[in-house]
Amino acid sequence: MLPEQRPFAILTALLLLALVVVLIRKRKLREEYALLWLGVGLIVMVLATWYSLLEWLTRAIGAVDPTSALFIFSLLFLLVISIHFSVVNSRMKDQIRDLTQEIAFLRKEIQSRVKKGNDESN
Amino acid sequence: MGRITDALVVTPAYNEAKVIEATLSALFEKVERALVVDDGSSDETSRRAAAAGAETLRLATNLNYGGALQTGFLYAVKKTDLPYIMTFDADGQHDPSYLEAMLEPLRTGKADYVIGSRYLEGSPRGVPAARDLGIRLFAAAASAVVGQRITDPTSGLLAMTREVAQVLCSDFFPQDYPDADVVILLSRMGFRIMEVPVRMKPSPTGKSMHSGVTRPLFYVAKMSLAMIHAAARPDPRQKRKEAKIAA
Repeated sequence: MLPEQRPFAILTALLLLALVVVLIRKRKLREEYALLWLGVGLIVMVLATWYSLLEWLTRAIGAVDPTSALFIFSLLFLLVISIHFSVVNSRMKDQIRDLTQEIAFLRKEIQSRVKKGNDESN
Repeated sequence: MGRITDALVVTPAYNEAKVIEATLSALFEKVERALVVDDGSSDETSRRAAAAGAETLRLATNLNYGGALQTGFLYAVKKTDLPYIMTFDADGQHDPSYLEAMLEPLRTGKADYVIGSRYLEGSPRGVPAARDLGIRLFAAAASAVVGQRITDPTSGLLAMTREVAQVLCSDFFPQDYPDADVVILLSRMGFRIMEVPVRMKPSPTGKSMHSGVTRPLFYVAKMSLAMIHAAARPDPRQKRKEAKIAA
């Protein structure tokens, strides 16, 4: 990373952290995701400020330069998080199915009780 | 011959207000009880179905064909004590005169799951060429896995025992297209599968859940994967036991 790239990386990390904090305060982000994105923000901050760690990681994965290493880690992270959200989505579809079926049964139960009540009052 | 009294006919329906009364009127000549599962329709499907004498369940959101069917199975298992459950499409392409013949193998204990097949007596008319090819390919694959001849695994005209319906209330039952994968899984669970020849009419509404360009491709890919999954699933007989206990 060139020295002039560092302020941009730090600014990005700060903006990400600030966005996460705002979303938590507005209760738009659940705790488990808040922790995840706070972690991501901190990692970006650490890599932006601790250049020798990034160089070590670059050598460790056999990348040509630190920028490529950053791209590889970013893509891997996005891949894993996409799979995770697919799993969450599948689970939510199951839950929606269960709820929809339950509502249908309850609606039928209410209708039959109302009908029974009307029949008895007549 | 009297009407069928020992089976509940489950009819999933999505925006079928135009044809549901005619379908039910023909159906009630042959059966006593029919349940219409309105799959989140935006028209008057459930109101007209109820007016025509059907029991109705209205889903708050569209669950797709499999989700609506499963809701019907749940109803049959939880709210009735009928020994047999049948499925019948709302669009008018199924002929109720075959229902009695489909129940016979269940009543005599020869089968647990009966498929109304369009292919047992030659090639059916009115099936588009691409769909016909797809059905034949899936039938060949299902036959190879199951070890018996299956000719129409995509048929929506089905009859099953109460125990099969209980098992199909489990999480594995596909919410979109329950087809050849269900046949494979039921067979691997030890249920006996049989086909009975039927004729079907082209859908009067001309609608199909497999119409368009991307949907058939997705269907073929999804069904291929589901069949492999069903064939490779470990210990399906254990699932059968678990489903029975849960019910």
